[in-house]
Amino acid sequence: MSVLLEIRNVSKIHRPGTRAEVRALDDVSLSVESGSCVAFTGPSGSGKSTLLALLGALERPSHGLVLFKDRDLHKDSDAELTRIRRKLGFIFQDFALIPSLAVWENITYPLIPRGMSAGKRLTLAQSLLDDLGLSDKTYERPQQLSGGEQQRVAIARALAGRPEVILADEATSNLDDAAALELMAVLKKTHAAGTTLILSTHDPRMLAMAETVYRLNAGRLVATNC
Amino acid sequence: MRLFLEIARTGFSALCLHPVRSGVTICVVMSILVPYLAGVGLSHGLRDVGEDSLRFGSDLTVTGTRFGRAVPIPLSAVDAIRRLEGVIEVVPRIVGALALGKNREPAVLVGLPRGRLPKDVSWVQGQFSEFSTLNEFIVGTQLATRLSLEIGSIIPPFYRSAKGERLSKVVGVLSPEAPLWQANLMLTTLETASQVFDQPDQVTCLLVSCRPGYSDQIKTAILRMPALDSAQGTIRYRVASKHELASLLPSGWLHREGIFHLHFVLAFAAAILAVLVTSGAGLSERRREIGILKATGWQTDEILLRGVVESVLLCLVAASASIVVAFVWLKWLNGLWIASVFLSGVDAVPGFKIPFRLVPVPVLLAFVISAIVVLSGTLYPTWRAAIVPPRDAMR
Repeated sequence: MSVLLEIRNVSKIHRPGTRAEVRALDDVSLSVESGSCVAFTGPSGSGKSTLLALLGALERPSHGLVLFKDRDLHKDSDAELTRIRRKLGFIFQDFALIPSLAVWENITYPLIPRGMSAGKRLTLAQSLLDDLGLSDKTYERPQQLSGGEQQRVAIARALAGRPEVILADEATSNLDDAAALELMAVLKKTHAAGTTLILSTHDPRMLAMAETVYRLNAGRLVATNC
Repeated sequence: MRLFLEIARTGFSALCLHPVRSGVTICVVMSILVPYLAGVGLSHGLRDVGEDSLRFGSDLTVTGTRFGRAVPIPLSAVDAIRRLEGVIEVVPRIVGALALGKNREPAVLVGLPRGRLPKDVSWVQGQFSEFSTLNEFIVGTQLATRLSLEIGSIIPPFYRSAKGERLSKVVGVLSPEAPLWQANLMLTTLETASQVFDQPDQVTCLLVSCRPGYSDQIKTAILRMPALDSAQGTIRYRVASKHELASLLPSGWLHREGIFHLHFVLAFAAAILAVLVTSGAGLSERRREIGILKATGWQTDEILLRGVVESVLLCLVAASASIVVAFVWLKWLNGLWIASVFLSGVDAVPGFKIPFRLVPVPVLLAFVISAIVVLSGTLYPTWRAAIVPPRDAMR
């Protein structure tokens, strides 16, 4: 398998040069192979979410390299980073749904700039919602759904763009057991179809899904379990 | 093109998806545009009234001066001017200020010869055609309202002259439909006005109508006439032609409108800040939404296009609504309050029909102002949110 994502000696410092400076990541290096399932774990504040955000091109490192298919994201323009984000699907811990949009619009809003017509988007959203057991929620607003349902909508949005990589940040932390199991089933199915999974989690069941588990503490990589 | 339209459509949706934010922005824009449009409309209406008065007025206005100041002119001048070649008629007129009632309500008393008083005019109510005796008045709408006067009302003595004090009677009330100048008017005969001001055989001005082409010649002839002798001393003529008065009109009008525009510029600057503040009220939600869009693959220019469409629609709605509301304010609410800003001595609720005209330039300017306020108030925060890393915007 080829290396899809790699970070080399990456550090991320928030609010540098101020009293509130926080070193979220400190000299971290690792690689993620195409089609693999990788998980990051560690205590709160250990840098898992920051690491996922860097891998997902949601922010830039303070030092070091982030490579996507050997391409240095640090050197890319904002527009190029956005184009790379279109190849990734991000599942956020707080779902990050837009409250004023209907479920189907939330799922397919990222596809508007890609030129997909409203009719095709609706069809795609209905198909994804069918797969996730939410076919009756197409026109509802996120706030009308339970936490588990919202998370499934967030998954549907991540899947809608047919991403090469799915990055899930504490995806089960806000869910009950049943919803967490449903989510894992969907992720397993997606992974089985060849999509690379990068997970940040405390959940042992999610960790069990991963082929590689990285443990972080205070922004540093302290252990690897392959 | 289809992609452009699809993204533009999301801007339209965004307008409806955030009704509170859209509503507040529209209200802020309207709060500056409506008074602006109403004020400018009123200002143009006043200009029209002034121009009409000049158009239908006399060709020459003759007054007397002493030490360079206006003084009454003796009635004997009427015959002397009437004899000049090209003169059609000379109408003596008395115009003077009064204060009536316990509250000293300001009024303008106008005295005209009996034959020159209005008869069967639709905007005068009452049987006034025969000013049979002294001390009969037609009063303006606002004055009648303020002093609770109606046809037949008796006005207690309000002046003292050589002939003592006299009661006065209201024989007519001007209709609210009458032109603006009638608001605080008291119209009466020349004799009554002369008695009120205790200035027998003197008037404030002579209105001279001339045959076409004779105006300049008559003006020169009047100025060459010998000075008039009166008990107080020599009085010289001063003559103002219709064109000279017309040239004075814009300066007064522009001065008033200039002050209004100055106030408006201040309000305009405040409005931009207000829109920034109001959009800031929903800014965290907006920033997060933009962060989500960026995180899911929207480019900065696509987010800005969405924001531009939303802002343009907002400004169109705000400007259109402002024009409608300004029209309603002037037409059906009769310039409630704003008329008193433009017209000194007018009540907050005008008792007469106020003149107004909404002209194309301020109306078009309303759209431009609306666009500037909305775009600078909403697009800047959108751009700021769109250029930061998505994770920061989503925090």
